[in-house]
Amino acid sequence: MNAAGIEHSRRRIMQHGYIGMGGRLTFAGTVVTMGTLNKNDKETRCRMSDRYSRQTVLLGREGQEALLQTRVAVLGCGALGTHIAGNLARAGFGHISIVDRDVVELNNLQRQALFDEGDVGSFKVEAAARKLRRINSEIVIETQVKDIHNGNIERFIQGCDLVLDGTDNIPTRMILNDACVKNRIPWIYAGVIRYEGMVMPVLPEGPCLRCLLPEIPPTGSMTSCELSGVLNPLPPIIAGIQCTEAIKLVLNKTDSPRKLVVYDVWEQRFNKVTVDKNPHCLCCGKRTYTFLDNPERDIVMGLCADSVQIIPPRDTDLDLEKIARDLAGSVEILIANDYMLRFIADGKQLTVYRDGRAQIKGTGDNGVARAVYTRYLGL
Amino acid sequence: MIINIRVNGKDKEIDTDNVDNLKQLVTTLVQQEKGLIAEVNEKIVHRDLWAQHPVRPGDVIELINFVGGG
Repeated sequence: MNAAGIEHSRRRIMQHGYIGMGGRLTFAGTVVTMGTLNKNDKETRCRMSDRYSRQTVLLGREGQEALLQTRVAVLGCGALGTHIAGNLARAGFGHISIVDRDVVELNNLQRQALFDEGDVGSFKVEAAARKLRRINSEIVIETQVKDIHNGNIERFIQGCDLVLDGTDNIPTRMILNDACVKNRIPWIYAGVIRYEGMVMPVLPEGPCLRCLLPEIPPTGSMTSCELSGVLNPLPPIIAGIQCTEAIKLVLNKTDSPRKLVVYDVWEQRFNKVTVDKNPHCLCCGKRTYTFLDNPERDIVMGLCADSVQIIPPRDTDLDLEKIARDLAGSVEILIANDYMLRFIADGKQLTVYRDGRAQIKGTGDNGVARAVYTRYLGL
Repeated sequence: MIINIRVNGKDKEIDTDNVDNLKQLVTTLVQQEKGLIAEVNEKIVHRDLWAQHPVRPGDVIELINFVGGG
C-alpha cells in the first residue's frame, strides 16, 4: 500500500472504526499505528487477539470462547439495558439482540449509557447498536424496534442461550418470566429505582420470579424511574452484577441455591438473600403460564397515585401526526412527531407512542385514565 | 410474651400474644403487601407460608418492596 492509501485508510478507521479490504477485516475504534493494513498483517492479528487479554487471564481461553459462542437477548434498552449491552459487547458475547420500542429523550442521558445528545430522537436500539458496533465490531448486534408483549416475546428469545432483563415494569417481567421458564432459557432479573436495585438469576427449574412475586401488585404500589427517579450510579452497578451473573451462567458457575441481590447505593448496603423454589409456584412449579397465555387485549396499570400506563391491543400502529392534526384546536399539544404525541386534555397529560402505549398523568384511577385514553384516541 | 426482633434495620419489641407469625407482623407494619418480599434471617419466606412462619426472638427481618423499574 502506498502513502496515499495508508492515509486514506487511517482516515476511514478514525471515522468509522473499521476498515474492510476485500474481505472482513475489522478494528476496534482507535487503532493508531498504520502499517500495511491488510488482513494478513501479523501485528493486526496480534492486536485483535489482545482485545480480551484482561479477561482470558480470569476466564481462560475456553471461557472466552464460550462467551463468544453465546447468543443473548437484552430486553429493554434503558437505564439497565444500555449498561448491560455495553458490558456484554465489551466482554465478547458473540451475538446480542436488543429489543425496545422507545426513542431517546434528553432526560435519558442522565443514566442511559450508549446515548449522547446527537441520539435524541433516534430509536434507542439503533443508537445503541451504532455505539456497540464501534465498541466491538467482531460480534453480531441485532435490533428490534418493538414493544415486548405476550404475543411476540417468544420470537425475541427463540434461539437465545440467555436473556437479560432491561425492562421497566412488572407486567412485562411476569411475561418474560413465563416465556423463559416455558422455553427453558435462563434469564437474569434486575430492577432499579431511586437508590435501590435487585438482581436474581432464574434458571428453568426455578426458583423463578413468580416464587418471589406471585402476582402483579395493584395500582398505587408500583412506580417507575420517570416518576420516582433513579440515582445514576445505581444502574451500572446493578447491570454489572447482572452481567457477572451472565458470565457465571455461561461458565456454569451460578450460585446454588439461588441468590437475590438487594442493594442500596445510598446506604451502601448489599445483601445476598437465599431464594428457595416455591413448590406451589404456578410458573416453575405447576408450569402454568398465566401471563404469557393471557388472552386479555390490553393492560391498564396504575404507576402511582397520579399516573396510569395503558398497554393497548397488539399490532396497533397509530398515525400520530394525523391524530395530532385531528386534535389540534381542542387540546394543547406539547410534542408531536412520528414517535410520540404528548398533549393536555381534561386536565390530564397524555403521552402516546406509535404502538398505542400511553401514560396518563393527573389521575391514579384506571377507569378515568382509560376513559380519557379512549375519548381522545378512540381505542 | 414480649420478644425482641429486628425489622428493616431497627430493633423492635413485639407481643407474641398478638403477633406470632410473619403474616400478622406484615399486616401490622405495612399497608400494601402485594409487592412485598419478606426476608427472615437472610432467607426469603414465600408469601403463602407467611401465616405458618413463626416470629422468633432475635429474628432479623427485612420487608422489601420488589423493584420494577429499569
